[in-house]
Amino acid sequence: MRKVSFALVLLTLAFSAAALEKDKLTLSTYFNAEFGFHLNEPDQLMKKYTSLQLKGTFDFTREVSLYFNLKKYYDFVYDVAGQYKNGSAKTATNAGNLWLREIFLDYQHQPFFLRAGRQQVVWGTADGVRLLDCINPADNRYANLDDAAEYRIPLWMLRFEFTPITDGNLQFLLIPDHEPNFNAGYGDVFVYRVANRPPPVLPPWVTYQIVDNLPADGFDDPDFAVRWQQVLNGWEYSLNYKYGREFYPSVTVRQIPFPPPAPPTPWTLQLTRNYQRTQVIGASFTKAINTGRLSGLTIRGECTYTLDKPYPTGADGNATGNTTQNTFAYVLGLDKYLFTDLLASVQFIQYINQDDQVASGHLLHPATLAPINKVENMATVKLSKDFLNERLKSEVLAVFGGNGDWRVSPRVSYEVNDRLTIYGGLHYFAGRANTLFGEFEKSSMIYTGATLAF
Amino acid sequence: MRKTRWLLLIVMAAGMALAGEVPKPKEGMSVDQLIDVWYQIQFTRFARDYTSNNKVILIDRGKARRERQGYRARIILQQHGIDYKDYVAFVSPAAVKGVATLTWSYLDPEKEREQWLYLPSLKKARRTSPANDDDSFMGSVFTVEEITSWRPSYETYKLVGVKKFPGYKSEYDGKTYYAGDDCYLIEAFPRRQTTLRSRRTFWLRKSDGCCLFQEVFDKNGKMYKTLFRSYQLVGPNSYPTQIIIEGKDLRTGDVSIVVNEEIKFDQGLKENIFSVENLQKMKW
Repeated sequence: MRKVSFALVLLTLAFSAAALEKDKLTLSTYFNAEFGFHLNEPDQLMKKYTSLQLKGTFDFTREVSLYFNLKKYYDFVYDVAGQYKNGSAKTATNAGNLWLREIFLDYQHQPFFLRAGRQQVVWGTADGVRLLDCINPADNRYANLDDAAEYRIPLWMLRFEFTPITDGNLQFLLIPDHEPNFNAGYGDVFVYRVANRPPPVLPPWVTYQIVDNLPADGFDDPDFAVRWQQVLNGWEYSLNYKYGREFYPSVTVRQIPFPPPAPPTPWTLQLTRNYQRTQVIGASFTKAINTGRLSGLTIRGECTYTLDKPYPTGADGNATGNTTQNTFAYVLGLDKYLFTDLLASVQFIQYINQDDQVASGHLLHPATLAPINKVENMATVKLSKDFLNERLKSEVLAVFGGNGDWRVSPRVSYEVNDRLTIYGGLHYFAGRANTLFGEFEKSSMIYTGATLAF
Repeated sequence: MRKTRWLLLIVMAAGMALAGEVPKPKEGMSVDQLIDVWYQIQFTRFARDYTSNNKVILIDRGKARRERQGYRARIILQQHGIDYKDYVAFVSPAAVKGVATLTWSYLDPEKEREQWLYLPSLKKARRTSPANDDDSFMGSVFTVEEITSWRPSYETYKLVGVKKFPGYKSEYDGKTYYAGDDCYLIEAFPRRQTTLRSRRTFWLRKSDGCCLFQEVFDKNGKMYKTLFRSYQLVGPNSYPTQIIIEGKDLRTGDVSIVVNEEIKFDQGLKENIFSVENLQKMKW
């Protein structure tokens, strides 16, 4: 509440000052409406989404400026679609103060830079795969099908940068705010398998209790992160370190008291969510090949070594314990324009765990609760091309999981005029029900929408 | 031999740039030297740095009009292998506001540019493969090469003679420009086999070397595009500067216009403005 009050004070200050100096204020408004339908049953609605977004900047001085991004949305699908009426409707609208997407003050005085407020910080070179992009949690309620800037949950933090040499930059982040990932609940549209089960039906003498042990916000035990980034002889590289917490919980279930008394004496089934301390050590690079036969090819990559990454353990679909592992993951990507203006981009991703079996059972995927292998592979292919003087844009993204599951998402958009863009596409998922993409097979969606910006 | 000649020209150009002198055509100059004068003017290589606000107007055959506005900054370094660094950010319309590119161009004309793109939808500065020279520049009828990446070494040249420019009526402001100005008419033949054109012409004004007009011909020898440029002398050093760049695709009837406004030279811009970390500080 204090943070929101602080944000409102900043906004009031900016708008009051803007009344005197209008040229220092810029404002843009975005209105978006999108409809989604089941691919297999096109008469069944999956999404009836409307959003209004206001973005703006105000320059107090040459060195101090403010940025804000406010967004309110509502998905009417839970009001009109019978299939989802009994869902948790977590997807229906912004929860809490998530309408305040971003608000921060910048102070720039070379070689120093400070950004204070609610913000997103993006590390890494991978597209759509979040290894080094580990600073902000994710709003997964639309299965990360929307833009990354929309599904990242901004955090309150201090971002301090020091540029001691040209093209070399040290970044330090102090993050007193902790938010977990935000996932759809049982009965919603895009629900991970881990959450896609009804609450347990318990006898009347048993109380079901959920305890969410969210770390306290504040500077007593904050997260922090450091990055060195440099461009040297055409190689762009970064070295990264984050001392933080995992954004998804480790869940433990307890019977209180234990052992539970005989019926009808009441007892409590308590589900506790804890957020594990982790450390991420990482690096990234990009290199554009400038000469020779491969000229125009861009190579990029990133890797992370995560200490104490939490995993549920047990058998397929049934988590009975928890463990932590030190895990290694990397992405290698290639981009090149082919035939003048067809942009092709491919990525190979590999996750390497210490073990796939521990004493408490098989290592399980936190989202699908499917057993995961010691080495898991993924790949992505993206093609994009513009037509009609970049008025008509087309792209197709295919993502292949390592367990025979995949997703393909073609999309076209057309710029009707400077203010109005219409678009349409589909997300087709395939695979077994316990795989990352296969779990959404019945949620394959065809969609269309329009964005009005002014 | 050819490479050595171009290297000498680059060194010469660097010398001129350091001196801040604006090159002009002189009697007895070879066609390659005349083209180099135009190269210096097109990219204002005599200035140390440059900023402007730009308007890109795209008009299709049905007269539907789209407009983009942006901010551009460039610093000419000519050291450590880097020729210049260029930064472009869109400020309107709202749909593309915040999109920005950073380009580093090398002194070696054979070396491909480095490019980064900031996309508000990702909140990320991402290294990209530079667009192909024949690709459209921001959806306009101009190619990337015509606006940003052209180097004299990409073509061979033939001086046709000195001719009077017939004049050009601008679609942007309706004025007729430069009728009767004496121009060197030069034909240019691309070295790249893959390019779409067979040749193009340069109408270089005899008095100052500014290229007023270009005609571009396809592989069958048919003219398919024209480019017009208007100029003003800007700043205390009176640098010849492009104000309107107007392109017409004669096959489709599409017209694209770039208008440069609020142009400033030699403000002492710092090189770190043209860095990846600065691109990552974008707010939008």
